[in-house]
Amino acid sequence: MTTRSRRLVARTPVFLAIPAAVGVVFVALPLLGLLAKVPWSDLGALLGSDLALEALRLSAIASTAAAGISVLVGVPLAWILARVEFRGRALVRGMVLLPLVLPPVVGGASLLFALGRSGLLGEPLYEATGLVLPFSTPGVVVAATFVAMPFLILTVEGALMRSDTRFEGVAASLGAGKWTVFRRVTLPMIWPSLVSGLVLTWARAFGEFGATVTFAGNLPGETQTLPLAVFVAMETNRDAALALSILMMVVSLTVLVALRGRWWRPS
Amino acid sequence: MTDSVVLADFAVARDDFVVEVALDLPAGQTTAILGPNGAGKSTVVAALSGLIPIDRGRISISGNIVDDPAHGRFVPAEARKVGVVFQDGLLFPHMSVEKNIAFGPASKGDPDDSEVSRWIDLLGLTAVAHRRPGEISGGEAQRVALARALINEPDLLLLDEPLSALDVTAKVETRRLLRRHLDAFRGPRVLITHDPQEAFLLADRIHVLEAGRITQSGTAGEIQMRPRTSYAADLAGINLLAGTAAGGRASINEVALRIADSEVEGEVLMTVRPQAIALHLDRPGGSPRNVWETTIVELEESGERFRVGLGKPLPLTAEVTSQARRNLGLAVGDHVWVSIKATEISVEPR
Repeated sequence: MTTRSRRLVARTPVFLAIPAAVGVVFVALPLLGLLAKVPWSDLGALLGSDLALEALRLSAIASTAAAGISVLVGVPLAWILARVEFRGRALVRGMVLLPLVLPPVVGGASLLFALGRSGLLGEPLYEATGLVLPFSTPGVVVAATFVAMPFLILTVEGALMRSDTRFEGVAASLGAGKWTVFRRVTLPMIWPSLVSGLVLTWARAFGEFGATVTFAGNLPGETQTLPLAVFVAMETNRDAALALSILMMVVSLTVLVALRGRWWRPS
Repeated sequence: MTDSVVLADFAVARDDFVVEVALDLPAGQTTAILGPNGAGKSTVVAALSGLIPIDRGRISISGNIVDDPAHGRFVPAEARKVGVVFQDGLLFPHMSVEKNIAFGPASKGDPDDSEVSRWIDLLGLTAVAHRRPGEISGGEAQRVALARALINEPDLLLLDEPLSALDVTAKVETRRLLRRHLDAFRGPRVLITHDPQEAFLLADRIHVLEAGRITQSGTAGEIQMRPRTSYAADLAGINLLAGTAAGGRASINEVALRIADSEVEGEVLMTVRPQAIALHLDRPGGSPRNVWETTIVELEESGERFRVGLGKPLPLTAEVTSQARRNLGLAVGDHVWVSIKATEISVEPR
């Protein structure tokens, strides 16, 4: 036994170790079940199919775009929620986090009512620009952003509330303007949390299904992301579904382990 | 730099009380704002530096009005040229010492490397220039904070409890260094502190701040002579002595005291806390101490403790507990032996 695992055994009380082990098994079991059924010999052909590659490409683009938009919009929003006291802050905070608990299908439906061609915002948007979001690739990005952004806001807001605002005061007293303070002091100090939030956001967007299928539909090559492809394949081609599932797991797990483990440090 | 003078007369409401002060800070002088914790000292720092707006009154720095709510004027911190050194340094943890010092000039788009190295050199930080704040000592951190503030050539320098977070050795060393740089800085200096020894040794003029109000202003000597509040009276108990130092000894009139600092030379100011003066009925022995015999000239009860006024050859005030006083049977006119450890005497060149 290595020193590290010996220490783990020595330091973990039984009343914590047993439930923790149950937790690990609970999470790992479906993964193992999946691995047991994967048609390993056909895996290359199944994953190399146009449908699979197209879905992977779309998923990667959509989740990266969603993570990018979440940073651009979510970081300022998190800053305001953490630093500015205003009437209705609790309401805004609740609304912003709503997609975390809302069934994604409901989220997708509300997006459709708001941004659809005859929707509240969708109609003027269409008349002004001819842009139609539902059932289009940009629609996939919108759905993924809607569902995933709360992860970024939650993480960054928490980091901003924990960080010591006196450093920003020092920076101002040294002649730094608001933008310089934000860029050179605030942002670097919350950096680990920002990266952690970004990774979670990306991973959530990568796995997004309900809002996407409701708002953007299921058009291969255009709106059919990996999760949607898995769903379709479950009906038609079990082996393909298994192959796509294993692909999703590998990608997501890699991202979570590699990036989140490296950046996320409890403070 | 011109002889900048700060005039401030303002009120800021806090949760529990209103901080209301009038300050006239002449160039080239160190003004101490001395008060207990929670007296509103940090509010004064925040108002002067522009981190919070005042509610009433006016602040002007070098002839420019920087805060005047009646006329809707407020110059924010970044446009004020007020340098602040905070208690725990507040160095940016994600930047090296060098980057911390260069922060001000870089923020203004004027990163002058030679100026940065000059300050690193001036404060003896060459060895740690590339380290992060987490990897340097408390004394070094305060030196970095000082360099970071001074490199900006501020019109006003605020030192908010600059020594409080340091241990005894670092405190003495940093105080000495602070003294030197305060003297070299030509604008007004404000020292915020709860430590009367710091104020007595570093400041030209002292304002005593209690519950948001200045209760007394004057030189250390004036406050000692005529304390106006019980807090000031407590401060007044601190013994302040003027003398000449050389080779680890300080002479005051004909008395020579052993001091811990063997390097300081020339005219010095010294402080000794009354609790640090031990009284004995017989001559004490042991470790290197200053020991002499004297008479009790005054005895004054204050709470659970007694102030003991000591006569020739060196008039000092000691403080003992009521129990110690009973055990020793102290009374006015008694002969007692005084002992003071060399390390209990704080020394600062004048």
